[in-house]
Amino acid sequence: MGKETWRSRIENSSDATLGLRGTLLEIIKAENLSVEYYRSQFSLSNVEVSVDQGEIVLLTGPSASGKSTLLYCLSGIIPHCINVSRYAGEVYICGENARKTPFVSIMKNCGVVLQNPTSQIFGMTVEEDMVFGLENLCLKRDEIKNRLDETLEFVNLEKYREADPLTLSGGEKQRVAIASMLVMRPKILFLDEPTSNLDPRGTREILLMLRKLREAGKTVVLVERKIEHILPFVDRIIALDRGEITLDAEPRRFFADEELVKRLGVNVPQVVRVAYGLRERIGLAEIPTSIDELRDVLAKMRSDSV
Amino acid sequence: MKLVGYVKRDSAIHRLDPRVKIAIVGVLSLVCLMFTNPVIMMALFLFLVILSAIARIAVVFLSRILPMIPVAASAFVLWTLFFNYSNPDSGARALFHYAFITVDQASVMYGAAMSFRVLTILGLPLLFFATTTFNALSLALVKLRLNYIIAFTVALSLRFIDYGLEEMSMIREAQVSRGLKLRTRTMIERPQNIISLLKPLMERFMRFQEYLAISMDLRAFGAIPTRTFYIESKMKIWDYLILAIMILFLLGSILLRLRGWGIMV
Amino acid sequence: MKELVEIRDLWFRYGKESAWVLQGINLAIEEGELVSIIGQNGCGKTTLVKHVNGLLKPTKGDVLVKGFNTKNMETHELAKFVGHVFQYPDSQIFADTIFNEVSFGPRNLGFAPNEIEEAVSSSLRKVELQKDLDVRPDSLSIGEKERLAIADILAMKPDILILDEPTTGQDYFTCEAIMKICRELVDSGKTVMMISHDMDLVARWSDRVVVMSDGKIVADRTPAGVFTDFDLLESVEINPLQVSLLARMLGMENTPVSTDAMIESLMDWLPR
Repeated sequence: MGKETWRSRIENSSDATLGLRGTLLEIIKAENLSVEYYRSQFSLSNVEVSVDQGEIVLLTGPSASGKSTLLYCLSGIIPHCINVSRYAGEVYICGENARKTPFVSIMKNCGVVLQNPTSQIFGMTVEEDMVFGLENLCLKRDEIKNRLDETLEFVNLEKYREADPLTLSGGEKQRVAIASMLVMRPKILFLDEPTSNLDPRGTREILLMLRKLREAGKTVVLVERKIEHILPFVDRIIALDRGEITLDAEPRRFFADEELVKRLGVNVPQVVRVAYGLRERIGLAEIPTSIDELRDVLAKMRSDSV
Repeated sequence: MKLVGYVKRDSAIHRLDPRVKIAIVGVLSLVCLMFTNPVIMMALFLFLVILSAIARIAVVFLSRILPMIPVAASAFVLWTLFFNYSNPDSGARALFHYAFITVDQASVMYGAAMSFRVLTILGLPLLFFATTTFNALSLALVKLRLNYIIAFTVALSLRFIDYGLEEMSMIREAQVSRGLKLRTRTMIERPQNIISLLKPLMERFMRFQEYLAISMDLRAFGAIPTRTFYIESKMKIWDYLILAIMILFLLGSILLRLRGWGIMV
Repeated sequence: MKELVEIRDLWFRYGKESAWVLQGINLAIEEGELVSIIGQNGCGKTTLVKHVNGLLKPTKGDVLVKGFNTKNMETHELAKFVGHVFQYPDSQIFADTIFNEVSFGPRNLGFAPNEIEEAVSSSLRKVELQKDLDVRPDSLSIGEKERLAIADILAMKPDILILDEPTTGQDYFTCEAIMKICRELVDSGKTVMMISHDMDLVARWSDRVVVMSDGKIVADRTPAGVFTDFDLLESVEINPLQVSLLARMLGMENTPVSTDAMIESLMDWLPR
């Protein structure tokens, strides 16, 4: 294909804005997906997932449950960047079949931030790193500059524009990695354990970023094990166990079955543990999942009886 | 512990076009290899140090050269002991004589020359990478008609040398904490020791490489035959001037060399 | 109570040009204590624990382990007393069989063959890894590999166990298993030093919490002492525990740090 065809194909289909909240458009769909790696430790069996535009979905589960594998499948990394010995079923990303569409087309819709930021940082400065993808896409200089300025502001890294990303803190490095993906204006952002290596300060920076992404209506799929902090920002939780989806529900319903949740090796937040205890003692009806929710329930209980 | 990393400064050297810097490295390396006079060798090395001062990275440069001192010292010892250049009839004073090893004034001079040559040859790339970002380097390589995929891969690999050293250090700490003795006399234990350090390193390297490859695909690297370069790189007057000086320097050196100057007899 | 680790006025920096990473640390840890060290990255926690098994030597001050000054000992010698579990422990696996992997530590320490066998089988039992001894570690799942790596450290029978961020590289089950083992160790008179960012974990399992900031110890108290002091937590930018926050928001008298304590408090707070 000539350079012009490539350019127009990409230019015509990229978003001008960061997306609108509220449109119930199914943006990712996995049907009957079964995948096996050559090493056959990581696999998925008969997975069905549907993600709507603007949703923030959390994938969780113990080690080797398949959560990262699922992330890779939903973003097209499997099968394009990673070879698998078996791929059955279909995944549709923004309406395109993940397996049959060339990776370049999928990639413009999906921004993926992997676990180790160091393996994703290509620039000697934050600016250099962020423009790397745009340069590869042959965007014009003006366009690159606009996107660069806009995204730097969004992730609050303007003061580090000329800094070497590898000298930054964990939270800042992670934001650089996210920024380098956001600048490519993907419709969906995939984050693989964004807070796992971070200290409390870094975690907070990422949570703020998540809130901003949510407000901007971005679709986000993330894998996390420490879910206590992430919970307020999440619309839906999908729990995996040995390659199968065992639970797929919004936070409230997700924690309803205490036995199941414990069996799945999910890190249950303190608030939920308290709620479980109260359910046992005084028959609390619903399981609140955030501090505010539990506070409201308890305050109401106390004021009701007065 | 950055050995190869870019050191951000605002200096004349940093602002030079990377192609000119490549030329400087090339010319100085050639000149270095052409001559054997220790005074010239020392002058070349000092010139390098002066350049690092102009680049405002003298301290960093010297601290990075420090690990190379043992190499230079070995060169000195080796050449001094084994180099037997002087004509037996020339009357040169023999300083030391043992079996087939003869050390005389000429050998010492030659040894000195070699050790400075080592320092210069090793110091040139160090200076280069301390003053040139890998992106600028790739740009230069592309303009020199090198395929940008190759150019990038080369430049990236160099950057991650430092990362590799860090990983190595972490693995060493983990294994030493399990009682691994790094200096052991028993021959039986030694291969195990090396495996305990190398195998985890290889695994980490493989995993890192996998992630790296995926990351590059995610940023559309290589998807389109050409690419935009956000960072502009045009040759300015200064660049042409320096380039001209370098070429003249090279030609001059070749001439002098052909006349037999600057080498030891 | 005997002091296993004594740190006296420890100052550390990497070179004369660098900034001080540790500034005048004084810490004494006795037998039977599970001590957690918390603080932001860069506050010196990892640097501090690296002194305990000799990976780093003090620039000023002394570190004494079981009475021995670490300045005079190499890490592999200190490995007789100190076990150090790093983040992502599965990445240090290299041997061709489970037995060779888990016996690496004991062999290095010069255990006799029958001691090695006993150490290996008992530690594998503790981490609940039921596999044949000649299985290749490569074929294990990630969770199993994590346990394998820890088994090796346990097989060395350390008196002091250092855990660097146990939740980062591990999943929930493995982490709980490790913490239970730590509790057993501590109950039998050993010592555990743990670095973690998971405050819930720290509050649940620690006997003592040391808070660090900018190379100094800013607090050294019980979990309750640390996590009820909101001013302290704010000064080091650590969020309070969910239950503590909730208690404050509800205007409760006391501030629990565990879910059980919270439930009990709520039972009193709520009307019948």
